[in-house]
Amino acid sequence: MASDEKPSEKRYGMVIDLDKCSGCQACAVACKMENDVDLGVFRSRVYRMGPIGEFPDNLEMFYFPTMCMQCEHPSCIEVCPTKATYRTEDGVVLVSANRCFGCQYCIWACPYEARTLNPNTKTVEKCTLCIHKLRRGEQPPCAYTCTTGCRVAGDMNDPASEISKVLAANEDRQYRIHPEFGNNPSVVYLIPRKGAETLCRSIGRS
Amino acid sequence: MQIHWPLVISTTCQRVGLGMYLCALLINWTSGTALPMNVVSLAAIVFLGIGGVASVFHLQSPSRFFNAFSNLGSHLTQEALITPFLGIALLACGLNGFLFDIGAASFALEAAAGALALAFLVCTGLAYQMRSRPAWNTKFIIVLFLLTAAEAGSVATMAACLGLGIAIPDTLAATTITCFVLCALTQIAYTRRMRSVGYGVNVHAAERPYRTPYIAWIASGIVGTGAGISLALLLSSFEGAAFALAASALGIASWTVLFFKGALKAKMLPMYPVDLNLDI
Repeated sequence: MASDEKPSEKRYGMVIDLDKCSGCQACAVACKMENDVDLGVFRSRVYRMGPIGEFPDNLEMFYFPTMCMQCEHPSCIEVCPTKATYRTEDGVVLVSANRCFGCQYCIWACPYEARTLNPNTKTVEKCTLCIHKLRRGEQPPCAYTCTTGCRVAGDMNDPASEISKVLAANEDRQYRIHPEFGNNPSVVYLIPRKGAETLCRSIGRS
Repeated sequence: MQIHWPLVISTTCQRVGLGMYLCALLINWTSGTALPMNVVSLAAIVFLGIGGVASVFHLQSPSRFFNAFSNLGSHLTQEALITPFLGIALLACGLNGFLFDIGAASFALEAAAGALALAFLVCTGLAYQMRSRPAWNTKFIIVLFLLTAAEAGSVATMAACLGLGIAIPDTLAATTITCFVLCALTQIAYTRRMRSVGYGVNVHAAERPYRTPYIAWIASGIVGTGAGISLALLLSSFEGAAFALAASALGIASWTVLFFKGALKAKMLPMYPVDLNLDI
């Protein structure tokens, strides 16, 4: 590397293969256990999309895990008056519980249902991408617990990382939710090869 | 979206109080009316104070209020920064003539308070423009906040004139009617827009669960306010003007309830009937 070249910044993110997710909710449970998440507060959820259409040929259904999208341009940071929400150098959006005063504007501004007000702590909580694990080179519990291996987390700017390899191998299936909002999420979905025809049609994929 | 009552109360009080101050100031300047700005300023402070106390109740950890000054890019921080200066300027205007008399400098002081009041209303309006809420993702929001403040403010100024035995100037009468009509038309246009915002969260105001605040807004914000304004202008009736002011404030509150209820979050995959909207 030439002396004037700087190494590219890290950008931690996650890829979720919707073809593999079986809706077992192990990720949601693992997240609760790892982060000691209170009752009524969720950092990771799995929804069932469908079934819609008719059996056998036109039936659609898939599972859809959601979490904080770790946006490159997060709406929550724009609106937070206390700077409790901030983005780390490695691209993870975090909330400082000591600064948050619970105005909830970040919950309103987030387009991805990623945040919850914890009624016990009176502050807002969200997925941290288990940055403490990632920095040690480990996978977040939602990823290593996943029974089907549908989640892979890592540095999206490192071409040698597992996540970069998965993304490169599935370029035609990558989908970021609501790209028109300009948040540029770091959570990338791989759309199902079958069972999501309505989604594919609406985003212009065959 | 849930109704955040402290914010309904605070934004209503702020629009009525600051709208009244701005209208009274402009009417004094343009038509030579002698409305006592010290009394108007003190009344505006009362409204601003009620609004401020209400908004503190919205915070989950109000003891950390002073953290609100941290992010200059946030419209809430901008609002928080303007508030103390606005409060001091209005208090100075209110005491001018009672505790001291600054004479010709009153004009500059009142103008400064007016500029701060306008900036405060703009910041509040901008705080609610959000991409994540399709109903709020529009310039209508800031226009609505300013128009409702202008309508309530002109009605309050009319009531102040009649209460103090001052004839309503033609400029004020024309301003009140214009603001009332423009406000109603803009609110109707906003309601129509909510029907087709997309993202799986279209809102029909005349249907449940939006029907009650919608009807309350029509009854108070249009029928009640219109009737009160007519009585005040045709009969020079203070009671009519006071009724119009109460109806206008109630109309703004009802409208704000509808405004909150209709601000559903964009569904993540709106092409599927599953509702991901958690109503938070």
